[in-house]
Amino acid sequence: MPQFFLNKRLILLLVSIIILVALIGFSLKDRELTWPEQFVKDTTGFVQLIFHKPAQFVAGFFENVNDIRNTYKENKLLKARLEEYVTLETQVQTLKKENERLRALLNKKESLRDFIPIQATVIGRNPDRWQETIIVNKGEQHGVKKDMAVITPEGLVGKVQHASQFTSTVQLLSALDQKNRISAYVQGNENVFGLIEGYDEKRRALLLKRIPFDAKIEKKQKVLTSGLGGVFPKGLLIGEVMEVVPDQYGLTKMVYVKPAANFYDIDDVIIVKRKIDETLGEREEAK
Amino acid sequence: MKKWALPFLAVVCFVSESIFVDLWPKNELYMHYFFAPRFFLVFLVFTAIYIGQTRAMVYGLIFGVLYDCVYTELLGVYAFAFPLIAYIVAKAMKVLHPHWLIACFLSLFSIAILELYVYGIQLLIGRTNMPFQMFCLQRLSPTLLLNVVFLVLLSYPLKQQLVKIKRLEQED
Repeated sequence: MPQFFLNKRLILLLVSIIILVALIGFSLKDRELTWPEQFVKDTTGFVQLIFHKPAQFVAGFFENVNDIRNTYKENKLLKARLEEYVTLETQVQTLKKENERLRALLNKKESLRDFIPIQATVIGRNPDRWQETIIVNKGEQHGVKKDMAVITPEGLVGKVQHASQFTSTVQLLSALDQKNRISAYVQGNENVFGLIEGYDEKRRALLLKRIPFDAKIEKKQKVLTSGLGGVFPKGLLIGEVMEVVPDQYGLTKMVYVKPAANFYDIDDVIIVKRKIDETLGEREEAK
Repeated sequence: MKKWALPFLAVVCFVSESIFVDLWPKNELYMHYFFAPRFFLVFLVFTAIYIGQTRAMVYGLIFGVLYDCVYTELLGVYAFAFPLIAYIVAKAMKVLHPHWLIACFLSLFSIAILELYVYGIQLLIGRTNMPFQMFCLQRLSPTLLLNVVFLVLLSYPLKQQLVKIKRLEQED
């Protein structure tokens, strides 16, 4: 038995296992990144950026060749959509102006909808693919903070999981995380509010839960962020209703939401900073 | 120049994993099968065989910590696994012949071990609820397949490079 304890390697192994468990426990907590981690992330981010640029250039060339093959078909379709778009554009302009005028009338300057966009480029992805996360090249120095919404032109894709000084990690909506909840509503004659909780991998759909049982929801209705969660602005498109089913216990309804954005094919993202938080912050500082 | 060859190779292997996943065309194949490139692990196994045990373990520890900090944000998982795998491979080499094919086989073996180990931890902390059969079908076999392709294409030049580095060091 004493021989067993004298085996240095075995002791080392056991100590490392204890450290491993402790470290996993530490990183599972809801936490901000410590400064050594931030430093390591930023340094690696810089190296990644150097390697990423030429690699993307080569990959982009092949993608372009692929695109050219589909150009004719796409062009035809887009031309048909163009006229539709012009009428919509004029409508939006008049509505926007009217909205501004009415707001001025009410003397209500801030809205949950307004946000400051921060453009960012994807420089890496989690290669082991247990968690779908991407690394982008903007960090706290550019105004990114934890839990901010991340969108592409198509719609919401995720939120900032951790921000270090010059890079940040984005957790995609498809990640399995119990803590990842987004307050959302279904757009209709009467808006129905619920929470996005989780992702169904088989159907590739987000789950919108906690909807009142008597709510009227139809297929193809749009689902947007409500801005009531405290971090996201209002009105970011999440997706559209795929199917409505009763919840596990039958007390509430659950909606399968087909995401508007493609979670996989992401090159550039926009990190969304709510304007209302900024004005509130300024006011507090002024006090 | 000679001094920097090995760290440079390690960094290239490490960064290329992430870039590979990022630039892979996002088609049905990507969405359905979760293949993970394990280029760095292959590099590590080859280093353990052709350069030496201590160096491989140190590289494993440093890049394991990097892997945890930068990619997974779950500290300790890879920092523990990489040095251990390097150690086991180096010990196994005492009875095995350092032939290229044996090195390839050992790399594949360690990739499978690593995948199982990470799967176990993810299951334990509740980040995944993938059943074992699905894990084998959607994750383990595509990962092995991808890395077999990598091994066939690039492991021989990698081995030659490492042998060259070792030889230059011994001449000094």
